[in-house]
Amino acid sequence: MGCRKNLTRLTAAERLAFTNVINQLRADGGYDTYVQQHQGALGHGHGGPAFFPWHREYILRFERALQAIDPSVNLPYWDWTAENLNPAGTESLIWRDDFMGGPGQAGTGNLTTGPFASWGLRRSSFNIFTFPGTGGTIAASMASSNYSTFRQIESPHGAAHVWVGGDVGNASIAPRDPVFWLIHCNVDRLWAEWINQHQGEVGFQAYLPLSGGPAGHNLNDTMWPWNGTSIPFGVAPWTVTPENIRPADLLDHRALGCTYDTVDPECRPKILFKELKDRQPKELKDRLPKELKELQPKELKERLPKEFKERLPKELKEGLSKELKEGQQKELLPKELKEGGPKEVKEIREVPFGEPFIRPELRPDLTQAAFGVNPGLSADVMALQEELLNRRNDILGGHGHGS
Amino acid sequence: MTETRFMYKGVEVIAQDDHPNGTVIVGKRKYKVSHHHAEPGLSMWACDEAYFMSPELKELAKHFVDYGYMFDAPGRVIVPGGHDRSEHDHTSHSRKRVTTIKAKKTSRRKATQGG
Repeated sequence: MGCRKNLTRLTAAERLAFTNVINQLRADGGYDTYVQQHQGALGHGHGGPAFFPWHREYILRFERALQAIDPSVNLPYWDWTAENLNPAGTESLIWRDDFMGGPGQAGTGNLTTGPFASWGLRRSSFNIFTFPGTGGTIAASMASSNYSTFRQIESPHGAAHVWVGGDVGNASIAPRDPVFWLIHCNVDRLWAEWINQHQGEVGFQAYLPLSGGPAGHNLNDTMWPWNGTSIPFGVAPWTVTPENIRPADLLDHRALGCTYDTVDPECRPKILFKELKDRQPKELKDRLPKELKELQPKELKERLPKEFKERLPKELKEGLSKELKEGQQKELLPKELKEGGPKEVKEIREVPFGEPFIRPELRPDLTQAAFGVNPGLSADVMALQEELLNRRNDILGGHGHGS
Repeated sequence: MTETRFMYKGVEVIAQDDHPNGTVIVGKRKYKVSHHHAEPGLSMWACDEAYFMSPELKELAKHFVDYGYMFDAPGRVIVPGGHDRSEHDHTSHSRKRVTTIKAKKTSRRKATQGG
């Protein structure tokens, strides 16, 4: 089962393999047929309901062509609604010399960097630290369980094409630029996510219309070019034997052998705690208390009592080593504790071991909402939450407390 | 020619249908559009500047309002043509003209703004 993941999670080796295999496919003469196929489907696969299933089959076949050369390769996706930068925010993870290359040159738009620099491509001279956006529109479409509303995502998808500009900004030649596959892998992911999100709802239809739409757009219509028809033009040699590929055959991405890291658990990355710490986005790092930023998990357990002690106000720290009378201790308490009655003070003192280490108001917000709209982080955040919970349980367990 | 005027997101939009060509006007910006019949039973309004087609001219016009800031982004490169070439010339990759939109001094919405 192939795992299609966010391009920001690709390793350098995976980026190299992906760009190498695309260059190899082109050198073998197998790339341009996909460009022509897309051009022929301008009416068939665009502007209508079949936009999603047509492109699902289309990118699947392209991916299989890549895998015939290098079985380790899967299509990555570009979530263009979020920035795609390294954790320090200093480097683009898509517009780089070892992946998609950079923007076009100012004035001409010529692409002169990266693995596809010799292809004669053009792009707009955009700022690599910005991104198309359109997340608000997409979220509104995703929230509806009606396919007719959902498929309006075709409009913001088009905006992503326009934002990159040049070849990929022109529908008749768009797949000439390999960025095309990253855009459409994301489109396909959105369809998979949408189905996954709504499929339990009564009356939900993963695709419409069932009938009555234009030819090729109904649930059980076969689609060009795979069905062998000559409209808009003949397909040989792309389909030697006609195949009945229908939208109905394409509703379950998993049945096609694909998984997405935001949909399918087995595609989510397993991240070690140490790696997580290194991969934390800058804004999360900044929000963590200093102790958490610096501590290793092993150290956490050993150092907890000391850390706890060090966090106490100076006066109280000194008080711990002295035999202070109860009245003196109360004098040294912070104002808010002084104002609380004995009961409240007692409750604070009796918080289970480990809990006061980070006061509630200082605890990092690890919910997805804390990161704003950045769905690409969700898997990391979930893994971080799970890891922190496990660590907490380990620590509490080690001191005889169950969780 | 038929002309339709409507308000969308606080902006007046004028859609002129002079079949098979047309013009969509959003403020001072004009978009040349054309109607295509790529397949029987399926016709679309398209624009060389956009990557979006719709059976309804009004829907295409709304797309221009939604993402106009991208269409006019500084440094944008347009490789035009080809929406209706599928029946005629599907083997060539037309590069008749490349248009580059230069940066203007007027303030623009940031490209990162969500739609």
